[in-house]
Amino acid sequence: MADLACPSCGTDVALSLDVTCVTVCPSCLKVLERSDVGLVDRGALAPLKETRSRLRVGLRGRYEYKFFTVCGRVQVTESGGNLWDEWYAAFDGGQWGWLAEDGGRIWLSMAVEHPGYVPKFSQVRAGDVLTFEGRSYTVSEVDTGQVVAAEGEIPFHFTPEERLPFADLSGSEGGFGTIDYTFDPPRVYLGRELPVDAFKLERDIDLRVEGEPPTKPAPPDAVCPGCQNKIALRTPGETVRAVCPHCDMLCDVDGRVLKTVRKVVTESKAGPPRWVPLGATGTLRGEKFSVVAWRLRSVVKEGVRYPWQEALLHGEKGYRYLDCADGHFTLGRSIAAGEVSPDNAFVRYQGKKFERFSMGDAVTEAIVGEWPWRVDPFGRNPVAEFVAPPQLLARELGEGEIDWTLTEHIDAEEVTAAFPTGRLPPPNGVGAAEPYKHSHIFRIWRWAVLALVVGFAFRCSTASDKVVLDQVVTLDALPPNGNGGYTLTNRLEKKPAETFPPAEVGQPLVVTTDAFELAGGKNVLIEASAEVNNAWIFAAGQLLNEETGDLQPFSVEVSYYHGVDGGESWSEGGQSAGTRVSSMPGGPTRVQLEIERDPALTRPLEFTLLIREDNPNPVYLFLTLIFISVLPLFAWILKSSFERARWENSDYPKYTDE
Amino acid sequence: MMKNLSFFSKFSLAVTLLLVGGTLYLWFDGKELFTEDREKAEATSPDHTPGSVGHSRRIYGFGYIGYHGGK
Repeated sequence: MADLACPSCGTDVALSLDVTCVTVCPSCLKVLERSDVGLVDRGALAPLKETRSRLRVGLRGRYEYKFFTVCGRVQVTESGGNLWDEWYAAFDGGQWGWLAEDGGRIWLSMAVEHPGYVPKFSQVRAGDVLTFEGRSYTVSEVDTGQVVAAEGEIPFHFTPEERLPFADLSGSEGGFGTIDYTFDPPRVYLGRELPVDAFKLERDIDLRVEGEPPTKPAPPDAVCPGCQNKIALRTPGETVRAVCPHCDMLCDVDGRVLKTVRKVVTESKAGPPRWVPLGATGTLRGEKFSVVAWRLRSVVKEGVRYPWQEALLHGEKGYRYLDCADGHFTLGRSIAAGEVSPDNAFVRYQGKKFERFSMGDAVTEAIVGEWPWRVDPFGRNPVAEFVAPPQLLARELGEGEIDWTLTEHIDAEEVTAAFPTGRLPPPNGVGAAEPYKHSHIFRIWRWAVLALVVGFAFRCSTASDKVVLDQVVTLDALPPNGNGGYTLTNRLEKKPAETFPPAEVGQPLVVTTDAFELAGGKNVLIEASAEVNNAWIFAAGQLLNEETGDLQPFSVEVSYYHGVDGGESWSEGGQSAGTRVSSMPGGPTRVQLEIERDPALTRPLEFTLLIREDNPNPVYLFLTLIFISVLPLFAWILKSSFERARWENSDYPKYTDE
Repeated sequence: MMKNLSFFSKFSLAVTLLLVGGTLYLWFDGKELFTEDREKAEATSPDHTPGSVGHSRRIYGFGYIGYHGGK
């Protein structure tokens, strides 16, 4: 460590790091450049401005077993007026990186030694996709910043108010980076998120659990330079531009100092009127919000104006956008450009496909309230929408900037409950992100189909399907005007065949089979087969439980016809048939059959009766599938009509009337 | 979740549960639809030996079936 005196005020200035190029005198705020002859005064900076950062110079951290110290910071303003902190981390081994904060998370960026192709500053555009270290990054912003304040030791050379051309990169899974064009060739820095315990060292600081830093008391009311009336800012310290509620003057806000920009329109004659008053508070999706700004925007296509309203909500977790188009509401938040993968007709976000819906140049017709960015109500910004109901991705191209917003449909009832003072416009048609309200039916149907198939598979795997009787009834040749006798053969028990005489003339032929044991509680499948050709045989029968006397009637017909008609062969029926009956009580059971046969079938004939117990019926699978599909089919027809109405409002209609 | 369902969805859910539940019941309880009603044989002691003719009361009832099928 070296202590040197500030050449301007004489204050001792510590130089603790080898990588330090510039240090800032804490007394006179002079930029002091390190040189062979000591410190060289490069000019004075403005005092640091209050930001909500929880980092500070001197903080020790750790990343992948390497320790670092937060050694300094630079405050930079972009051309839009936004100010941000760049914190520098010096590693104990001599490396350095810089730290960025966003939404309570902290990223560490390090220089890429061999970045490969880097476009020139004049060539790079917002929305370009570049590849570094094998990963794709979307250029989210191209701008030139300006150093306005700094503290501590900085590992690169700069002078006060030096302009810093840069391109911000946004990658998937939270990846980000920056191309710094102050160097030649430009340097590429790629970032990675620091783990939650990165700062949990000797100071025992966990940035995630410390909570929000204390905010300074709100500054006194600002005074509109246009009408000299006081403006009570709702979000002091965050507002970059505000519209004076007294004289409709749009003003740049710098602390409590306002500079006029231009008068704006606060209510469009063409409407619709603002649905919610500024300052209205409410809770949406569990988060408390207040309405801090509103604007009416529109696009014009083929002479038709399509307006929509944007209400800017300020909540504990930042800003949200509550948009209203044709009475349909969406609640949205900004997302990193790198999280969206563009394609021709669609984009993907977190694996979800969003179809392109509309495109146009948006203009602002009316604007009120306070804006945390340098809102431009006079420009014309290309906007595009991609839908995957109930979500919608909106892309807006600004000057050197691409912004993506992820919004989600929100029911008007929910908005009314949150903002009861609002006068909601009535909904018209189908909203771009409005979900089909009966879509749960399809999910229910899918689960039901799964339950049926799994249930049937399980039932089949556990079914015994036991053959309890395999009886052959050999019918004698049919004599004229009478019945023949028959022989019973039990193929299951391999008993000797028994022969029985014919029934009396005029009486039906009734056959009683051998007894067999039913377990009970399971269904019974009765299968009959006979070698019939262009003939039929029919058996009306009953299962008879000999202990309980339960009788279960059934009938089964075996008929098989075939031939050639007009040169084409045909067939109908078969030489076997079956039927199922409900479970019988367990116990010894017989089958009694009355057999009739085709009068032409006079030859001896074998009629086989096979009885199985516990054979699940697949017919119910198909019948139930058909029945449970009726309502989903109806819902699907309604959905088609719903989607048709949605896409009628699209620039890329999916349905065309031929 | 039920709160988010439309009436149509709730109705569909109820019908689907009924049908799927009913089907599972049929499978697991060994029930069959479209079969004739079960009856009780009278308490007399029928002759159930194989080949017996006309000794069961129910057998006498066969006449009503009156099958005249075939081609």
